[in-house]
Amino acid sequence: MTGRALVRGGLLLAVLAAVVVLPLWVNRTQPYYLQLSINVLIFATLALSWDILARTGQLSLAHAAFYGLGAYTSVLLTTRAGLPIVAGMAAGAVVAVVAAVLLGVLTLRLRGIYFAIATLAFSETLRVITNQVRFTGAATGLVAPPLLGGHRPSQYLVILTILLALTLVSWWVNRSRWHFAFTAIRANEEVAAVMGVDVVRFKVLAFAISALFAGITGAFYAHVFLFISPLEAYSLAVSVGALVAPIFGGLYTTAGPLVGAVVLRAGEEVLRSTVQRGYPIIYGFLLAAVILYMPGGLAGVWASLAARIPRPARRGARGEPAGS
Amino acid sequence: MGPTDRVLLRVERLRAGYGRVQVLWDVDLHVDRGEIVCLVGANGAGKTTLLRAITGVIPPRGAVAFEGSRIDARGTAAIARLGIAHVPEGRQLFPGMTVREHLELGAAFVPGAWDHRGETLERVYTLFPRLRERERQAAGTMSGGEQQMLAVARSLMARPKMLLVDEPSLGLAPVLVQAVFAALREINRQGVTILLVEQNVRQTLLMAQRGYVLENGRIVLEGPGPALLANDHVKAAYLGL
Repeated sequence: MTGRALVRGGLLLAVLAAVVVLPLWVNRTQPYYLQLSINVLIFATLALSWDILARTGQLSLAHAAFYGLGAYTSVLLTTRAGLPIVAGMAAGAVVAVVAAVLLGVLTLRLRGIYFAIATLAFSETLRVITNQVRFTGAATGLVAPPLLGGHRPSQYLVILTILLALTLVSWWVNRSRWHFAFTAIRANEEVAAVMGVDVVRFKVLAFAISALFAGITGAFYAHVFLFISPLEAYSLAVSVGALVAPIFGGLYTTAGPLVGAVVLRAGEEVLRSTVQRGYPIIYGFLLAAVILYMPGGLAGVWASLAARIPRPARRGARGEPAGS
Repeated sequence: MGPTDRVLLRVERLRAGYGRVQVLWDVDLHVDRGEIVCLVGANGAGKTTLLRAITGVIPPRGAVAFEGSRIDARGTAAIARLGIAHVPEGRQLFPGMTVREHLELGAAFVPGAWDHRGETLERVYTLFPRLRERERQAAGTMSGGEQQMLAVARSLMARPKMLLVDEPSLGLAPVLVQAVFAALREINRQGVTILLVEQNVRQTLLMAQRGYVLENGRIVLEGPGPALLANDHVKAAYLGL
């Protein structure tokens, strides 16, 4: 191991220790921050899972659909069929994956804005149907049983575990041969196929992974906030938030969507408490400024800063894909 | 050796097009193992379409057989994994990816190629020393000639039995065209069969063992390279003589 790798590993461990311990420690005096941390991690999970799908060039507006499907499946199974919450959450993830595979196959040939509109239609259709059907509580919504008896610190560790699992998956995708497949498909599907990449398989797989984490996060959200309604669970704000954070933080990376989500949600909270009126206007301006003047997002700024600091030549191991 | 052993790629009564527009009309051609065969013709004759139909990028009608087995109903990725590498028109590199990443991608999804990538990489770098120098450089920042070499090199990383090359001379200065053609000859000498599509008729026919002339989606002439060069129609239509 080189010194650099040691420093990196140490930093990673420190961050990990901080995210496990800090919110739980602060919770003893100020429970508000633990609640905020849970919100941030939900947002980060949505952002990073959205980004994995985007790496195949599929810019989806259906993330709320998987989030909502996860939430509704879990709540219906736990309240109407009496399933334990863990089983409900797992079922929520499975239903989201099945829906994603179907949607993925249907939208295989669509590109860019056409793909985005089709996914938006899918999500909105689910919302409208859920809004009408009495079995799903219609517009009134459903009350959900609490996860782990409503014990906030335990709930925090659950969403942290989900996010860590997703982070590992994302990191692996960008380190393995999948990274080549995803990047090639995003750039040009025909050329990717000519290189032997099974385009359909990878596009649908990306959809499934993305929906798995959105679905389980939706179920988690339901059992933490104890109430779901079509307007909230299938909210367009969920889909838009999931794509804004990666753009803000840096698309197609693991750190970008995570940092983007944390900065955006924490920043929103700070603005909300300091600016009494019209904080969304300032929030919107800041967002627009970043997207206009920092095309690579926060990760792009980081990379160009790092490039200015001289350091010894890279010694990438032979045969190992470069980049993050 | 029987006929199926000698012939690597056989195309029979191939028809293909885009939507209702038919481009290719009953094209017959074959490429023997170890050959360089070229396909020449004017812009819009259907040369690129023919390559795309062979590798399934567009659906072909008629028969395409590789090593004696039909491949016309197979998907593009499956065909690539059988050992046919297609160097598409206009190079089609991926912006932002480095030279090294392109080469690794070329080997990543073909069985066997990934395990031998270190060895293949050495071979490819020996063939194109410039690419070794530019290993860490983004492909988009290289010259046209270097990009064309990278496009060919990326395909070689799959350790193909056959290379389909679409207009490698496109947009290159004459000296670079020479370099690319020399590389193709060397690749062929190392045992890779080549089907080359070109508008650069003279040089291509000089290099190829056999050639086909495609006009309006039909093969109008075929024969050994020198014989086609001497043909009056070829002289008048393509060489301006």
